[in-house]
Parts: sequence; C-alpha cells; structure tokens
Amino acid sequence: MRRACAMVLMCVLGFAALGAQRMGGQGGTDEFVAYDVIVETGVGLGAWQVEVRPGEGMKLTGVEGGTGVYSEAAYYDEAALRGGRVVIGDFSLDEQLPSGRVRVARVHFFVRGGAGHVVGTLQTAGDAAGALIDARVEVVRVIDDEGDAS
Amino acid sequence: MRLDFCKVGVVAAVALAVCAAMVVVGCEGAGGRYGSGGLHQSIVPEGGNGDEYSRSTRDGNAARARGGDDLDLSWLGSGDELWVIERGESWEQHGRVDRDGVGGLRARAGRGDTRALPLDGVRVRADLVGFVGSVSVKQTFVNPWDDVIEAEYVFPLIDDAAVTGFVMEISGRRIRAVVREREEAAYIYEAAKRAGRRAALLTQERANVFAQRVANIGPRERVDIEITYFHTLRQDDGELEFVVPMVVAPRYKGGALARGGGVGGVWSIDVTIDAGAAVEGVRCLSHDVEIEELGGDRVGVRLADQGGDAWSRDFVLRYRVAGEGARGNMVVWEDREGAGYFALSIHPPTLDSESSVREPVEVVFVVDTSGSMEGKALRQAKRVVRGALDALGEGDAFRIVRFAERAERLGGGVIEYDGDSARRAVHELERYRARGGTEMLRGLDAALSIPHDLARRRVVVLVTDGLVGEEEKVVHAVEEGLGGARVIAVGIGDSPNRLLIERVARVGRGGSAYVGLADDARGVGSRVMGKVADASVTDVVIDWGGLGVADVLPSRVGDLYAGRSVVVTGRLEGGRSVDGETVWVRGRRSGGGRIDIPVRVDVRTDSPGRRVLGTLWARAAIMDLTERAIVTGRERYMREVEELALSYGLASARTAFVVADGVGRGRRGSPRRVEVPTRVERGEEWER
Repeated sequence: MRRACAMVLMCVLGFAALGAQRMGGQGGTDEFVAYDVIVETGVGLGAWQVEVRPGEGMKLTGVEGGTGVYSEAAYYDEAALRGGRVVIGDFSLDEQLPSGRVRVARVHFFVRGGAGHVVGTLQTAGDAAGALIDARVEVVRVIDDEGDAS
Repeated sequence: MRLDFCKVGVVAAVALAVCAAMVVVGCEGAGGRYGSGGLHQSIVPEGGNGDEYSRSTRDGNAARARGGDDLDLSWLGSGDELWVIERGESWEQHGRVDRDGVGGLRARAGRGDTRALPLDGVRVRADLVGFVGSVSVKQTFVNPWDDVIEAEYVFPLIDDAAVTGFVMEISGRRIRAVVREREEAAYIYEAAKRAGRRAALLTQERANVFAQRVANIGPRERVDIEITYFHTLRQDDGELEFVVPMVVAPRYKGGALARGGGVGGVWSIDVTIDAGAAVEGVRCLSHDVEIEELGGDRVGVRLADQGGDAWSRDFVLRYRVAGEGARGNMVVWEDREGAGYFALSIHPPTLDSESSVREPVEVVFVVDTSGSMEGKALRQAKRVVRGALDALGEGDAFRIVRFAERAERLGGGVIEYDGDSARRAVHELERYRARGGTEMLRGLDAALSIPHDLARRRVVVLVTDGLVGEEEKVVHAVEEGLGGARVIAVGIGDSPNRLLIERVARVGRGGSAYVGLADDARGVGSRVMGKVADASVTDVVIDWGGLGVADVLPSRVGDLYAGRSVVVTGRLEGGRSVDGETVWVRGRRSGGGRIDIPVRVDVRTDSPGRRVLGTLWARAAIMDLTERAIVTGRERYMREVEELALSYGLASARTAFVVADGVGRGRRGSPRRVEVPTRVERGEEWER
C-alpha cells in the first residue's frame, strides 16, 4: 500500500514538475531585448553589411534604424534568416556620410527561456564611391532607456 | 434562410420586442449615416450567442441591432424609426459560420464602451511603373483611452498583392517586422503582449484580406504601421487599372454570412504614374481626384473626395498608355552568372472587325440572384446580360441559369438566338428577384453540366458580386467542369470579390470585367461578349529561343483578348547573359492566320529590379501552389508555400509578419482589446 502511494505521489510530482517546466518555457523566463549595432570607421560610411549571430533560443523580432543617415529601418536578408543567421545592411547616397562610431541599426530579439547574447561580424563596409574601407563592428545591449511605461 | 420583417410604429415595436429577439433602429449616429428603412433581410448570427446582425440594402442606409433582452429605448429620438425583426431559425440549422477572421463592423471596446476608435487615418502612396504597382499603406492608430489597448483591424488589399514590408513606428522609431511561420509569429506576438511590449502582427486571412493587431498602445499614444507591397496592374479595354480596395465584403458560406467591413478613418491616396510612354485618359471611376502633369510622361493623381460614403467603395483608377498594335515587353534581372527573374507582358493586337470572322457561340449566362445582389446590383447584372445579348447574332445560341440557394435554368434547352428569343429572355430576366443565400456551386454545376453543342464555341458568363466564402470550391468546380468552354467572370458592385472573379477568369481561361453600381452595365456586357467571342489570339505558345527559363507562371497562357495584357513571370537558370535576345509569342489570329509577336529582352542588374521581379515571381508561385493545394488536397504544396514565403520575405497563408520592441521593460497588466470598426460596401451597412 505504502509502495503504491509512493508511486502515485511520484507520478503527481513528476507531472507537476513537467507542468512547471512547460509554464516556464511558455512565459516564465521569456524576454525581449535589443542591441545596438555600431560600425566604427575613419572615413564616411557609404554602405555596410553586418551579421549578428544570435545565441541559443533567440529569435529576431525587428530591425530598427540607427542614427543620422542610417535612421531608416535597415533591411535584413530573408534567405539568411531561414538558416538562423541575421544579416542586415544598408547604404546611403547622402553627401555628408558619417564616420567614427556610427550607430547603424538596432536589432530586437525574443529570447525564449532566458537571456542570450549575440556576436556581431562585419561582412563589408564601403565609402561613398563603393570602395571597401577598414571598419569594425560592435554590438551593444540596449539598457532600458525608456523606463517602465506602466 | 429567410426572415420576415414588418415595419411597425414605436409603440407596437415595444410590445413586440418583448417576444421578438431583435430591435433595429434607424438613427443619426457617430458610426455612420442612418436613415429611414429599406430593411429587407436579416443576417444570420455570428455564433449562436444570442446576437444577430441586420442590414439595410438601400444606398447609404444602415441599421443597428441590439439584443432583445436588453431593451432600453430611451435613446430613441424624434424622427427615428424602429424596426422589429422576427428571429429566424438558428444558424446551427443552416451550416457553418465563417470564422476565418474576415473582419467587419465591430465597434466594441470592453463593456459597451464605444468611444472614438483608434484608427486615425490611412495614407496610400503608389508608384505605377510600367505594369507594376509599388504601394505603401500607412495606417495611424491613436489610443483615445486612459489605459493601454490592443487594436485589431481587418483590411483588404488587392488580390495579388505581394506584401514585402511591415514597419511599426512609435515616437519616431521605425522598426521593421520579420517574416516568420504563422504560428511562431503569433506565439512571439502573444508573448510580447503579455510582457507589455509594443508589438504588431500581420496575418493573411484570405489572399486579399489581412488582419493586423497592435499590442500595448499607451494612453494617447500614436502608432504608425506601414505596409508595402507590389502587384501587377490589370489591363482591360486597353486601359491599365489600379485599385485600392477599401471594403471587405461579407461572404456567404454554406448557409451563413461571414462578417464583412470596409476601412475607416481619414484617407489620403497619392499616385504617380510613370509608364515609360505618354499617359492618356487618366480617370478615376470611383472618387473625385486631382490630376497633375508632372512632366516627362509622369502623371500625379491625388484623392480629393473625403465626404459621404467615399470609403465604402474601392478606389479605381484607369489610364491608357500610348502605343498601338501587338507588342511585348520583357524585363529581366540577372546576376553575374545570368540567373535571375523575368516578367514578360504581352499586349494582344486590336481586332480588325471587318476582316475577322467570328465562330458561332453558345453563351451560358450564370446570374447571381442571391440576397446580396438586391437592388442596384441585380439591375446592373440584368443590364450586363442584356448588353451581351445585344452582341449576339445569327447562328449563336444562349442559355440563362440563375442561382441563389438553388439553381434554375431558363427554358428547356439551348435557345437559338434571334430577336424574339432575346426579347423573351429579357422579359424573363426582369422577373428575377434577389433573395436567399449564394450557392454559386449549384449555379456553376447547372451551367457546366449542360451538354456542349460542339458546333459552337461555348462561353460561360458568370455575373455575380462574388460574395461567397468558399472560393476554393468554386475555382475547383470551374477547373473540373470547364471542358472546352471559356468562362468570363463579371464582378458586380462597388466592391466585388475581385479575388474570386480573377481566379475564376484565370482557371476558366476566359477573362474578367467589373461593373460598378453607376457604370454603363449594358455597354460592358456588350464589350465583354464581343471580347470573349472574339479572342484575338488563340493557341498561344511562347518561343523562348535560347533562354533557359524555369518555373514559368502561368504555366499555360490562355487565349489573348484585344485590349487585355497578360503578364508571365519566371526564373532564369543562368549560364550566360540574355540581354538583347528575342523571344516570340506565337498564336492563331482570330479570323484566320498566324501571329508572331517579337519581344526584346531588356536586362537590369540593379538591386530594386531583383527585389521587384523576384517578389512578383514568388507571389505568383505562391498563388499557383495554393491553388494546387486546394485542387489536390496535398499538404506538400502548402509546405512549399511556406518555404517560398519565408525565403522571399512575403506574407502568405502560412507566414506572418511580427515585430516586437525589445527596448525598455514593458508595461504591466493586460491591454484592453479594441476591434477597429470598418465600413461596408455602398448600399449595405452592417453592425453588430
């Protein structure tokens, strides 16, 4: 009898644990985060393309513009996204191209089951004439700059 | 289902209302213009929850319905009218109710709160280059409440719209949405909503109906949603046509009527036409517009009409591009290896009426006499048939089939055309009254099952507003029963179901035409008949020469009709550049002889070219696969749809756009849900 009760108790606890796990997966630790994509260059940045490699469980939920001539929402490569890669890029024909640290985009992610991290890789950067230029990329987590709106 | 109505005075109504289920009142209200009666028919309820819909069928009139168990008539004013409607049989006895998300007039917000609605305005910006329309639709939502809301809005787009972009703008921040599998997108959206994140979701409910949800709009906050799409312009009677749908018409589906509705808010529409040649005869059939010459063969068109029921009908713009005779145009985008996409437009030759000899035809008119056709719509349908009869001649024959809830054939057999038989048919036609459901399948079955007189070319002319929910079955029935016939579909009303009309025309290898409530319907009928009977080029084949083409759509080009262009898209397999090469469109000319139309290949290597041509091909492929899935019932076609849509970043039945803001910590608590009301077709108004 005691053995039967113990088995029933174990089953109950097992189901409870499974349920808790599912609950957690569905909403308990889900998170939404944003990262700024910054390209640093010594000359005017006419075009750029960056791969932002998301961590486990991260899903891209939006691509936002950066600052100045790159304030319009950048484009992402749909075919690359099919393979789990986030490749974004843009160009500008503006006469006054920015240089130095340029925030070119902001990427938004849904993180299922906890906080993740991303790695940015510069794929290409060009000047006003389309010539390749030296540049580096940095991807920085956006800390709450808006405050709690509630 | 039929309900009976009686018009009574207020006192009688109050007494009757105790046992009747619904009260309908005509009044002047914020939700639209309400006037005196004309109520002829009630509509089945949405889901057996005690509520019912009602409608008025006179132009501009409307009706409002309330549950009979909650009667407060204190708001009745002097001059208001009261209608009492007897409750009909339960919807459950009449088949299923459409629950597929087609929106409608839903002015609910919480518990009876019906303050100003959050759709503040819509701006449409279109660039019409060649035969491609590039359109941006910007919707502005403003939250008038003191708490956080979620807005839900259902709206129409043109049926072949390839939706490629969806951007949410808040406080100057523009965030581009991402295409994901539909379930995954919905999951992310719900998670964002729960987390208090501003988020938006765009789903395709039908090929031409989309639903949009915007979560966590703060008090007094404004959110702009911008949707961009490409589509090919339809050409008929030598005119290119650009349409902005504004109405989601209610659809009859298996004994029930699904909800419909049109868009709301303040609108602006700005169009630039750049056809690459002189543009002539620019005119808007539906609204008042301002037309401006912009120089260099470019023309600007701006909507001027904002009043009355301007938003209860589709915006229809037509224009003509200079150039005569048969011609073709093939635009190609290719990469360095020569692989890419193309779009070939074929403009058939104008008929030479003196030299062409027409074969005798047997025309089967299939006339929709269901309840939704009541009033002007049915009168226009009758005029179309009369006009078509005018165009028949000695040696021709005809039959007339009408359908509503059932189908009936006029007379016992084929009617030989002559003056007397035409007059008798017109007399019989005038006796038709509109009532009941829209069992289009029965009408088509009755028409297509008539034994074909092989001595004559058979043409089926379907005259309908197309307001059925079972488009797939209708298209399938046409494909299955077509045989050697051609089907031409004529859309009636200011907002017919263009998706169905075009699909039936395509599958039926015929054509389509549209007749608004104020159009010359008889003239259209006559022209349609002339066009169908006199296909200017038949047995069409495309000689691709040395071009390596693949996945060409449509896979089979039907007959070509004078004044109506056809667009063929496909992929190039690559290997070498095809710039400057020539393809040939070959066929048999009406009246005898062959025709060969040379088309020179024009290659583009710019990035927008790839985007536009690739997108147009992908959208055509998605529509083709969807139809195959419907016809065969095979899931694998829908999986291909999903793959294509994800790879090309397109909205589809299996994919959706989702965007969620990752900045900030999010709001607490659940948002209030607001369903944005939309208007319905002129001549009909619905409200829950």
